[in-house]
Amino acid sequence: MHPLYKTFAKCCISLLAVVYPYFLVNGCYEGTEYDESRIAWFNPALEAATDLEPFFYNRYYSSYDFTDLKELDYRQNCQEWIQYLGTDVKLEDVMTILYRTPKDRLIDTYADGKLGDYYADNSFIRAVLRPERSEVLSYLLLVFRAEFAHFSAKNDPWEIDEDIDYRKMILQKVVDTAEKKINSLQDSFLLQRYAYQLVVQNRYLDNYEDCQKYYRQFFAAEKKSILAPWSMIHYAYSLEQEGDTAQSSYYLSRVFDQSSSKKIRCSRIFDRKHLNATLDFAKNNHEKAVIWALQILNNNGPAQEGINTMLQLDPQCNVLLPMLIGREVNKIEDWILTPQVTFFSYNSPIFQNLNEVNSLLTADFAFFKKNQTKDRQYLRSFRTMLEQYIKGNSDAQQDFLHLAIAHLYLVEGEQAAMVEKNLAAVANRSNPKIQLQVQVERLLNLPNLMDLQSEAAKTSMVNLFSQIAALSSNIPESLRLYPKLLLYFSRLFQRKGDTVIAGLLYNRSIVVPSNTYQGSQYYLPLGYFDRYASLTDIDQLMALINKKDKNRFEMFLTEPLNNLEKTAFRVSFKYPFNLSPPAPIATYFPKDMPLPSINQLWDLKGVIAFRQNNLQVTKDAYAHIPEDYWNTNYAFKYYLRQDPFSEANLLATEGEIGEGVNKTKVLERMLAIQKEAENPGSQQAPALYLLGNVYFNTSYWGANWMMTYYGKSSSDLAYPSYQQNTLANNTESLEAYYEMSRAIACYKKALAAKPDNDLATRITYMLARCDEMRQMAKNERNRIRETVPYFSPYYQLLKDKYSKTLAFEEIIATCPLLEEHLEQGDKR
Amino acid sequence: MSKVTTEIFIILSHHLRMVSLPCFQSVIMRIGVLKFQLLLFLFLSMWLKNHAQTTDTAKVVLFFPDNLNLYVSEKNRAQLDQIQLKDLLITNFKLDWSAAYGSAYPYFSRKNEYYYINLSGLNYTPRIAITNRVFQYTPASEIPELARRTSEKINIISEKIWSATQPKDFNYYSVEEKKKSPSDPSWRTGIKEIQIDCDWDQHTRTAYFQFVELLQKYFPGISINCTIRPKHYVERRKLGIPPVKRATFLYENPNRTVPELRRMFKGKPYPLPLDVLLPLWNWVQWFRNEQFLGPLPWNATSSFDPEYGNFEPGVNNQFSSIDSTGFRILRDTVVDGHFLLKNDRLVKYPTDTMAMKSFFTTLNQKNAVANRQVILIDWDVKKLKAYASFIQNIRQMLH
Repeated sequence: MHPLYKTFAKCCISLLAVVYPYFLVNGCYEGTEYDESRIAWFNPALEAATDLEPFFYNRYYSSYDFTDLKELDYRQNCQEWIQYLGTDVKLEDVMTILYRTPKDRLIDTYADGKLGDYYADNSFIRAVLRPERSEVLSYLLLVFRAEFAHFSAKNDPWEIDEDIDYRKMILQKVVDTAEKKINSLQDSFLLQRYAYQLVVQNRYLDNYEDCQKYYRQFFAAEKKSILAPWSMIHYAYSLEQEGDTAQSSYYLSRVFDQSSSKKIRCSRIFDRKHLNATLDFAKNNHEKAVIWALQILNNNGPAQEGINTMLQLDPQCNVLLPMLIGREVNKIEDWILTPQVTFFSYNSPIFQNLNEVNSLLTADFAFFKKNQTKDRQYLRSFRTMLEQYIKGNSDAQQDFLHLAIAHLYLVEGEQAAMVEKNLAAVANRSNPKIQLQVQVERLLNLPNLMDLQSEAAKTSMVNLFSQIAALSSNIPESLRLYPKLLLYFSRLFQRKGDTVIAGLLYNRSIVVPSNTYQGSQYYLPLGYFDRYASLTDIDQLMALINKKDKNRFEMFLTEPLNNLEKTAFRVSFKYPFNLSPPAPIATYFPKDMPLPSINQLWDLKGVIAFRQNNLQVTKDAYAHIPEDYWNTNYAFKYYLRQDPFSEANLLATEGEIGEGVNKTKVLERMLAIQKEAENPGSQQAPALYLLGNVYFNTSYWGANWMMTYYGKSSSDLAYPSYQQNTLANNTESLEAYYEMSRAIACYKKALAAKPDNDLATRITYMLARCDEMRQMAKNERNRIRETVPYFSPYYQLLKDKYSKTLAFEEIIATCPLLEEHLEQGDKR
Repeated sequence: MSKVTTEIFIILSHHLRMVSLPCFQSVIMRIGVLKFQLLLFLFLSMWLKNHAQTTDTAKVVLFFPDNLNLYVSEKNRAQLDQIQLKDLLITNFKLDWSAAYGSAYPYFSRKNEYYYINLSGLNYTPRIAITNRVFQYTPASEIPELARRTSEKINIISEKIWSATQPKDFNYYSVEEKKKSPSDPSWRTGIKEIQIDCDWDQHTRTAYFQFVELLQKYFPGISINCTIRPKHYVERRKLGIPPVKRATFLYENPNRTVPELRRMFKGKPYPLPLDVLLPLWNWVQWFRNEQFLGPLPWNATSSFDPEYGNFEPGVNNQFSSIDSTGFRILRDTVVDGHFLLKNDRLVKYPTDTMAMKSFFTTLNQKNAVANRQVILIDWDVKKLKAYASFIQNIRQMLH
């Protein structure tokens, strides 16, 4: 093959690979961000050191550059300044000047002779402005210029000369000055600071030899100052530039171990390809363990091998190990639980189709089973490793490990006794983080210990949820622990067929994305029941809402949403510096959430009964609703806009609901017509024709489709995703809605009931239209593109038998294109 | 007798696209729109009447200061055309000294051609603002380089703006245009003047004047017009006369009393023909411990103004709080190159039209000048329609 063709073929295949998934994603797509949909019930902050938060199993940190969230290094640096200048200098003042003020402002203010005036309240500035501290001030001004060059300056602020580089000019001046100073200064503190500048700025000026020289001279033996790890990262960088990757990686691991602010940077640039060579530089097992930690960080796959090696090398590596173990537990629960609880996986919806989505509840499909089997094997292997570790190390973090093991047993399932055994071994119950985790494990173990539908279980549930709510500030808010637990219990009750409880728990967990269409304010509290409730469920729900003396569990289900349930925090960590803290995402729920109103429920009951063609129940339900309800609520008036008994008018314009389109009145008339249609006689054919019209107009194709469903999408036909709407309803009602089966049956019966020629014409016309639309629906669903468009035999009948009737003339007059269509039919 | 032209410059602030003008509104509210127009009209009529015999044309010039991108909507352009506004005075860039860079640098400059919209067919005059600190800190040896850089910057920006003022089918990148010498860019063909604004003092006069002379050499055929402030007028012996052929009198506080004006204009007339720039409405006075430190352009301070945007004390804005006459700075900050300190007070001032009339009378007594340009600052383009008849009246008076 010619190379050009090869390239062309590659391009086409790449393009297809990129574009094809787009075609597969159909309808409304719901994706999530960060931890919104991920199950993380094991608290990653349970035992981890504060500066390790960025390394939790968390998408947010892997995407953004945040360094030293707790400002530990910065504070240490400021402390070193205070030690040097004297304790009358306040830490916050040093922080303000060194880390919270634009450096060009400080330089300009000094140049204007106003530094003392502007920062009169700042003890750090006061201290360095003393005449005897002129050397200190000179150093600071030099450093401010260097920082300005790095972070704010432009190569050429005039933007007229491409060759000029102001930044490098400034840095070169810094280096020149620092070189003079280290040869003349006696002050060891300032000397070291100037030396640090030489290491840093030489690195950025690509003078790697000098960078290494000054590092070795001034910092190789330094143990105390924060400048040691800070300069080491530049040393490591310069080694990397000279090709010594393994040694560079070793030094990065040392910086990672010693510094908070450089941890993320080190983990990002650590080269994982040279593990063995890097390990060769390690001087002891602890250093090796840290190298292994870097090796497995940022790896979202299984990392047991690395953790196990670390346990062997340095079981006392108390800082990193809990974080890595917690991270691994979070991974495992994500893989196994997230798809089953939130119906997401890696922030993407697993399925669009509700039937398939619901199969997740039972995990009844091949690839999921395969993955689950693999993940469970890994879970057991990892848990066994922890159990062995905890036995051999009495001084390890026993409570933390017991909780991790208990949690893994819970994720595995059907291990109630082992969960309880490990929970019993937790000693320190006064730590609120441990308390919270214990209660979470207890709640999750509840379904293993007793029947959830029993009163005792319900009482325990309420108690445990209440305790977890009280302690929930001990876990990052972005994980949305509390509402995700509610969603999980909703799924459990759903499996037991208790739709009322499941639905209310679902509505309480509404801030958790759950791969389900949520709709508008009107539909939000109704959606779950629309999808799953039976007529009896609706009755039970109304009874519960109306019940006066509710017990604790019923109160728990029906009370208004609490803050944990209605506040959607995305990120919870403390922002660095003085940026605004993340505000909770505004959530706008109906005021009665989680409860739908009684009128909504009567309407839903009517809708469900109507789908089932149970007209009497539908009418009885609507009888409870005020007359103007459909004209003043939701979007009813736009989609109930035509007299449903009239002939189908596909081009009906939007408008106010008309007289007689009130749902109650429609049902009253339908019932009356139904009686006429049941009895033979001259009235039968017209009655069946009118009924057929109603079924047509309330189908997907009709102007009054909102009699049957609350939502409609243009993609409904093309994809089976429309079943999102309709799980609780049978195939028959789906066929009635999308394929007009009820309308066609009525028209056929009407035609058989010997109508007069005019009526027969109209019936045949409607049959022809329904027939062609049904064919279209089937083709869309099966993705069939017909080369010759389907032509209904009823049109042929219309033309052959009824083309001389007055009704035919009227139909042609209303639809001029019909004549052409009939002629085309002839040509086929 | 030679013909004399009076040009009226109307300076638009960044409020071009804003609806409300607090100061302006407060004046209007106080005296009513019609009365205000009438007053303004009367005083200008009286003043122009005295010079009518020396006047034959009138031009209205729009001034685009910094922070206002050169985007004129179709609607606004139609309004400009309707009242025959044809001239632009545009701030190209502003220079300040940066101790961090160790040199002067443009802290504001126009760049994006994309915004130069609907300027076709308008005349254009560049304006460059330079802080006094530039001449305070720039070593004398670097003044020539400063002038060279400034001239290059003017060329780069002016070429773009000028090309945007050309007919719509003008092709900036056409071969013919590229053939032209870089030392004689096309933009210079239609430009008569470059305005330089600097509040120099006795210590910086030498450097500034040297800079202006050097800059003039880069622009043969185009005259440099320097702004002068009242102190430059009064203390001309100490502060010197800029080495240019024409100057613009930047009248910082139009609310001075007649005795104050007389004191200001006593003595000999200024040796240069003076145009006038009046900060009419949208400027603020800057006070520290009740001492007046000078005016600040409103467009730079409006973000502090509670009447603008989403200001909520202590919530959205950490810098200022409302008080009856203006607002107070809550935290040290820098505005338009000025260091504002905590507790500094910014007071919006509406202009007293009678005081303005007095000013013109007094000025003319001493400095009657042909071709005077009167620059009225901060006129919202949205108000153009309301002032169309006013401008028309002035034109009629002039012709």
